[in-house]
Amino acid sequence: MVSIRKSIARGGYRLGCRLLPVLPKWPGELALVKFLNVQLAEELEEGEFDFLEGRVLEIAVIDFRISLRMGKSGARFVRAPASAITDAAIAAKAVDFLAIASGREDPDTLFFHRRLSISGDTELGLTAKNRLDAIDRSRLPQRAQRWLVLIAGALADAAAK
Amino acid sequence: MELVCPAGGLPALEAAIDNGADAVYIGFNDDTNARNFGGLNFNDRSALRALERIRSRGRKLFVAINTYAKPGSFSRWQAAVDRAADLSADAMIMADIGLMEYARDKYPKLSLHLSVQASATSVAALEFYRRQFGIRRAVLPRVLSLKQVQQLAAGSRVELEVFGFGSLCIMAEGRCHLSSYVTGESPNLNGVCSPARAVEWRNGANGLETRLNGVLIDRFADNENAGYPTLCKGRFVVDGKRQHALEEPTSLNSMALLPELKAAGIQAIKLEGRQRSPAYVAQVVRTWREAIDEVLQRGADFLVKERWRGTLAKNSEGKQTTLGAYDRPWQ
Ligand code: SF4
Repeated sequence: MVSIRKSIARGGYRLGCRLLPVLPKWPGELALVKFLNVQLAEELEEGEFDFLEGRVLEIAVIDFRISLRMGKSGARFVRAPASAITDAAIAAKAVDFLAIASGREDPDTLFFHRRLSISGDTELGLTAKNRLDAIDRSRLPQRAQRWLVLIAGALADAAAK
Repeated sequence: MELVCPAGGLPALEAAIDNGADAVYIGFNDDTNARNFGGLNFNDRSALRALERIRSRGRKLFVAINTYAKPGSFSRWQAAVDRAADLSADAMIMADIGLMEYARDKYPKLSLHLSVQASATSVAALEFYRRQFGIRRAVLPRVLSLKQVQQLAAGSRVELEVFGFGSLCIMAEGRCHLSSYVTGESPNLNGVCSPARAVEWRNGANGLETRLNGVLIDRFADNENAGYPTLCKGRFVVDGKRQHALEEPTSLNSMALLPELKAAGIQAIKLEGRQRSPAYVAQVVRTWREAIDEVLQRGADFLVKERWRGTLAKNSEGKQTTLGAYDRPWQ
């Protein structure tokens, strides 16, 4: 069971590396923004992401060679318009982003070890990191949480090869 | 020995509770506390939630109001004390004597802990704070050697809390002027050393360069670990040699000293890192919980386990952990 999961992860990972850079990136941005708007509705309402208003945050997944750019307008996260300049960028490999999202790794630790980088407006990048850390993960649907942990673990194993 | 753990948000607070914290310390989301970073810390609502979670699990909540009030804005610091008192927090961690007087007069029943920002390093200083403001506990600066900690413990009439683990601020704790020299903002007045707005990381031809308010602090080759650019941990050319002139970017780890600290009568161990994520809090708190339980059981036979060492090394700034200032033979 474990080895099947590992080989799926490894196969999926290789496919992702090859396929993702050549696909258009708007579906990914749209999916990300939509997901965040649903999951973080409460936080948005409380103004906890107001610091993103009119700014552009870029999330660069280095190994997939994709970068998703988002901002906030009114009470919603939005895709950043192509003409807008990136204010801050956070870059890491997919496995490390997933490790952060699933609570396996601490972003500062990854930063010290040069596996995560922040460029541009540091304050914007750090504020985004702190706000994401403050999100109650237990509010995510159980299934999404389990998947996140599973995928993060499998990818970490695959990357260790 | 009480294990006192950091939380910059609710998930970190829960991670601390789940992994064995006896007490958790938090701050409000402004410059009344010494970890004043965007997106970090608690507003009234999340502080209330924090309190509920702490109470339901039978732990303690400390609130850090440990910066110095600025002229003309004392009322905001007073309001922070009122908010902490409304929460009926188990203790307030403070450094400003004006604020301590306010807290003592208005809330005589509330426990006061002297913050590390006050930098009290002698029995006389501790006595002063005890007599004037009735402090119950003091957090000792990280600049002290073990021998100095032992001497203080022998003469002190208040409980003592010592740093166990975390990023190192090695100078005179709150009295350091390096950050305000370069950025105009200091830990004691603005709650932040090296504010994020002044920090810049840029990949250059010679590696990753980090600047503080435009001043080059350090340059990292691709295989080198990076750190947060505090001026004290930068590399500078001194006598023609590029080196860490003031301090190397290491984290403090006093775990190996646990038996001595316990024998000296130290009442609490503090972990640094309110700016870190729940993942850090979970790993570091669990490690220290196990270590403290072990030292309580085995006393002088206590040995630091390899597994603990590994976890702490992974989570520390600059990777290697040392005994820090607790082991300065020249002191
Ligand atoms: S510059 Fe270094 S010693 Fe000074 S306050 Fe900042 S971390 Fe502490």
